Amino acid sequence: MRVTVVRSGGVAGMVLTAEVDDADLDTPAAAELTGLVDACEFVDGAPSAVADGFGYELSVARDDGSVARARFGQGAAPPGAGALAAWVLDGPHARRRMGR
Amino acid sequence: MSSGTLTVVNRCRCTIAPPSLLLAVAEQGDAETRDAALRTLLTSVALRSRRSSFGPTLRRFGLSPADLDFLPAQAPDTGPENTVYDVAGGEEQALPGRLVRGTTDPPTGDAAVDEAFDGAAATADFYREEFDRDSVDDRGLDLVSSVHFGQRYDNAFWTGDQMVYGDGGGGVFVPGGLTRAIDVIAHELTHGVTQFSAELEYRGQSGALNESFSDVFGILVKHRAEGIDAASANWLIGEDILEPSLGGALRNMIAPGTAYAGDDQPADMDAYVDLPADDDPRNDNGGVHINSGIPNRAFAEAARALGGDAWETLGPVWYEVLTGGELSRFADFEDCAALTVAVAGERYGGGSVEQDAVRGGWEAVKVRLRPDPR
Repeated sequence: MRVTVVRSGGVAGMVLTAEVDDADLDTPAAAELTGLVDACEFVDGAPSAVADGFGYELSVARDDGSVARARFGQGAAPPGAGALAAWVLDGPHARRRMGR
Repeated sequence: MSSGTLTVVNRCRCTIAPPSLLLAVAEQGDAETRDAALRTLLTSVALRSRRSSFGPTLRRFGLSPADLDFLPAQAPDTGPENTVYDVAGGEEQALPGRLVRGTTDPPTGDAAVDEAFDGAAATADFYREEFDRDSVDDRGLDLVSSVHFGQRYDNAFWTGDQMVYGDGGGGVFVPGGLTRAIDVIAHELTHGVTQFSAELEYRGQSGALNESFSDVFGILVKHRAEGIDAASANWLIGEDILEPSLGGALRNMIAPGTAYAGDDQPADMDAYVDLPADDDPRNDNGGVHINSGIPNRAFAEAARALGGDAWETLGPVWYEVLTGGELSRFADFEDCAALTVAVAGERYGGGSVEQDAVRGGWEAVKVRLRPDPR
């Protein structure tokens, strides 16, 4: 399972992509990620209502080939999406790159 | 919801009811009672003089401070209050947080609090002293800032009624960087000025103009505060607040595309980045932070050609275009270019060095100059 978070906008206007694959994680971290994915509702939310707000795309590519995706603006994350995005973006496990 | 829906259906004058009671009535009553209570809340003396403090309350009803335009402006001799709150790691639902510094309070020793306070004050002073503008809305809107938003949050933004600052440190901004840069603070507050004036749609070229006006007045506030001459300025927005591995600044107005590794701002229309204004976050609402490099450079080239204090030479021209009522909310670069040339001619004379400089700025970025639109 590969989880990818794209965050754009903000005052910097930069695009940050963070990606984590559970195959690269130790067992506790992989279980934590699976729990967050299972708790996430993959539905789109409203775009950011403010100038320089962040926009997000959260996608999960499962080993069976299925893909789930949610796009939402700052402050409009569907249930569970904010926690999953924060775990990937802010945690120590993801590969991060800047750019569109 | 607009103020137009706040029709008075009941002439009840609940002048002795406390705001908390009126709020409860507004939330729990039927439609008529709700409207009457809400109307009374909005017209209260407290709300007239301290409108921004009611931001969270207004949002509960789908309103913004702009919906209060029917109210009398705050007395100009008092000026806006300047208050800073600590949201202590909370996010939107926790705003504004705990009041930690009021207008007349001394510095707190918390750098984020004191920098947010000073930056808001400098920006309000700039607009009042240079353009006779009474705060963000030109009606005395109080300046409210909340600091320590989220965890290692790499952003600062204007919500529609207040400023919000993260601490940085999340991989993009150095810790404390977002309140340290006065041009970033003024950039965000200028989104408020645009909200209350041209209301430029935040997508495509009008969105790029929205971003550019924020950069223009952001850099002018910095130049004025630090006494920087247009001819010798480096025209960097957010200098030295990015993680050093990323680069030296957020944007370079005179040389777009060179501020940091991966900066993809175009320097002229030949390199315009045509992106759809869709829900894909990579597309940046149709490139609002990308193509803003074009009008940014037009301004910087014009100001550099003139030299001197850009906030006094071309600042009034760009301010008149933003707030004068002739710039459409859907304006494109050519609309903005034509208006700036026209306003420069009105202010300084047709064929003046100032008008020639403005024209030259737009020519440098290859924006077609149409005849005066008026």
